[in-house]
Amino acid sequence: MANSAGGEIKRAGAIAPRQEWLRNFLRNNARDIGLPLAVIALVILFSATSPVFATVQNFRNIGVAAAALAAVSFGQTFTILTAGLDLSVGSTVALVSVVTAFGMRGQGVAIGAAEGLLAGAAVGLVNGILITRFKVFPFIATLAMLSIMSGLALNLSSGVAVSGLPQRFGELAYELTAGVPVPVVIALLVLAVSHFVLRYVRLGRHIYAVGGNEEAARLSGINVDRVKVAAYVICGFCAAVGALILTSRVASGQPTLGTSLPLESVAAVVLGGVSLFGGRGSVVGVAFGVAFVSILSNGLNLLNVSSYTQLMVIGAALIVAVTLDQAIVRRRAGE
Amino acid sequence: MTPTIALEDIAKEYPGVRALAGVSLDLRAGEVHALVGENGAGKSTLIRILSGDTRPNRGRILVRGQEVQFHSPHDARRCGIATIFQELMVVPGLSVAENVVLGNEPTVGWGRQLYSRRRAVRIAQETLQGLGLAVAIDPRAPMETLSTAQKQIVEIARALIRDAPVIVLDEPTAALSDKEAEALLRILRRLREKGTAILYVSHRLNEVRGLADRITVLRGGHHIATLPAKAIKDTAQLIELMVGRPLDELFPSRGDVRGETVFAVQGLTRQGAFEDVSFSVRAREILGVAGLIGAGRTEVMRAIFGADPLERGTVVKDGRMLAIRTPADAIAAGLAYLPEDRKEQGLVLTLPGYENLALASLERYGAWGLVSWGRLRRAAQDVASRLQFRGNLEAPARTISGGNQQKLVIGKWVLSKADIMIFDEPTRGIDVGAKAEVYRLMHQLAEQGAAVIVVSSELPELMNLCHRMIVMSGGRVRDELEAANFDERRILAAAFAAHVTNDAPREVTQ
Repeated sequence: MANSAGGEIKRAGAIAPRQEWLRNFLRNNARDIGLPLAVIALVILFSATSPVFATVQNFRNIGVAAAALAAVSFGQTFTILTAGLDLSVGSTVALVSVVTAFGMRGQGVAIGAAEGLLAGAAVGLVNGILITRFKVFPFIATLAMLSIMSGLALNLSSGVAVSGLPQRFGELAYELTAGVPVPVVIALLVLAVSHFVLRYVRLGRHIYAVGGNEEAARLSGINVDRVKVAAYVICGFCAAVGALILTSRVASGQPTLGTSLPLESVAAVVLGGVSLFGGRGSVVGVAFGVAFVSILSNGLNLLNVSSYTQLMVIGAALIVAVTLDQAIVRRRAGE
Repeated sequence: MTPTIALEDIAKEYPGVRALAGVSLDLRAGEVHALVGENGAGKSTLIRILSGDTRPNRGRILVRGQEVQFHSPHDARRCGIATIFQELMVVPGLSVAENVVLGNEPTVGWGRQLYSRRRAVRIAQETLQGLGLAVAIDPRAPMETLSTAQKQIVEIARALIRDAPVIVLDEPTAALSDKEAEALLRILRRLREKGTAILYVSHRLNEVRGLADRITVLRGGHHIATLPAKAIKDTAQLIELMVGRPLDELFPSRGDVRGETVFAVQGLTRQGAFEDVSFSVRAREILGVAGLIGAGRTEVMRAIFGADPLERGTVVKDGRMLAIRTPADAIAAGLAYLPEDRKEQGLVLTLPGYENLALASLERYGAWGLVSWGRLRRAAQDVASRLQFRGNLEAPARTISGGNQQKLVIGKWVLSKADIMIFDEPTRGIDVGAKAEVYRLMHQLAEQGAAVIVVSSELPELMNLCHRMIVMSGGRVRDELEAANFDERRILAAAFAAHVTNDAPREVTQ
């Protein structure tokens, strides 16, 4: 066909080539560089307003504080990409904390950690089965599991912290490898593996397809149920990693750990540009989302802003970020 | 006389694309003005500007000679423009009457705040009767119980309530059967008599020629011509204006190099959908499946493909009986199914074109569960160029035009090495030029050894395309014909068989 229909790239006016390149670059990538730029802006802002902010020790503090949220958020990304979500991550963390503590107390760090990770994955499996086999909506299924797992954690620990962990484990949260705190290394590892799975492993591509259009994915031969269950198992596993980090920091198994994680992780994922409708976004964006939230609370802390006000600021920042994001999307569509 | 609506020199650009370049158009009272053009010609953009959904970069909109600016669809509606889109904008949870008065609810009482259901029903009743329908629609019925055609009529009624002097319709008959389309056209003719100005956008050129007073052709965002309908001698002339060059042949010549029977189904049954369906296909054959909407054709194909359950019956390919429970089983056996609705079921619109092409064959592009993007991209590019795909493979599939989207779906099945290809309404919503290419591709696939099954509601298409045809009606196969015996009357008689006899008509869902 000589005459092609639609989509011809035409020069929309006489502009200097370099200017046009910049315009197109901004237009195509504004959504992706907006958040990193905002993070950089925050760093600059807080460096200017607080003498303590831009120090190595403070950055280490930020990293340690952010590591658990990061691990949980990367796991949450998998479920949100399938157009679902996992509200039970908070109580998964609590449960894993208790299970790990008992395990480590009785059989040492390695076995305890393994039991914890397995417990996290098992919670994810139950979530996945509820959603695929019993057709319960993710919101409801994981909300119910939130309650059940929380109760289970409290039952197992009789409502009190589980102490007596090997001292070695409690120190891990404060150790450094090559100057970087261990929790940060772990979080970066989760980031790298998550990115690899989503980009280079077939399951990861199936996750995008299922989230993007479940029926089309099914008609293309993808086992939608299996993909969804995998996403929730991965989420549970990542939540378990986050739990290990948090448990190490408090050197005990706490059945009330992580209550704020469901909302915080979803916020970080959405900030990071992952669509709640599924099929769109990357964990790299989520990493910046976590960075944004963590740097913001750290900076506000250093400015002696009360934690109550901090809550308000973070909520407001989320609204601003999402609004800006929407505006960019709409401008890109030519409205 | 001043035209009711005049668009002067309208231009609209999106990043990287000039959708409209200086188009002028006017709508006069008591006239049907048709707008035709290929996908990408600018029709949808023009409609979005008229309906207030988007603003032009340049140009003026005049309502009865006065220049106006639409900042939102609300403004356009207030100026009297009612737009009926291809996607029905009805609220399924409400009743017919509530949908008809939507946005214009009759109120009574103090401060006119109380919604009056009784008045709404009466208004709806009057409006629907004014449309002169053959079969009355009950205003109290829930919207979801209506057929697509009836829902469309309710939308028109809603436009009429506002006494809209201008009605814009975008592909209104795309999802309607011939009989339903005729009913709609009758309503439009009646509206024309009443003095409404109508803008009618459609790919169905014969329909357009039968209805319109004037026809405007767009191509590549440019206004090509506006002609009185009577001045057009035949449809080919219109097509040539749309495409920009003479269209020698819409359908490739149909040779006959058919091989042995490679695929046969026997006694397929699912209660409520289809019963005792049997047919076979030979290698290098194009088998058509004709019938009215609701005859059960899509249901049969989806069941063969494993997308829906099958209660009884056997499927045999190359002499081997297949046990197909899921689409994955069907794909492994070499079957392919191109769904009726490619956007809803055929493509993942958020993913780029090349990934959509690879969607059914991902395991071929890497080992150990990994994906090698280099290999994937190469395979995708190769199949895209073989299909003469036009567009950006790197861009998300939703940005690609309808005809090329269909090529993505076809390409997906070529890459999965399917040799039984089931096409379900493959040219729906595709412009004329792209249709010719899809027909060419189907012939190519057949020549290369595949068995092709085509479900279509456009009889001329089937009659020109297929070697053999089966006709379904009411969930059963009623007739089977070789190309040499294709006869429109005979096929239609078979298609209507279930509706004419007292053959215990089934509740067949769409």
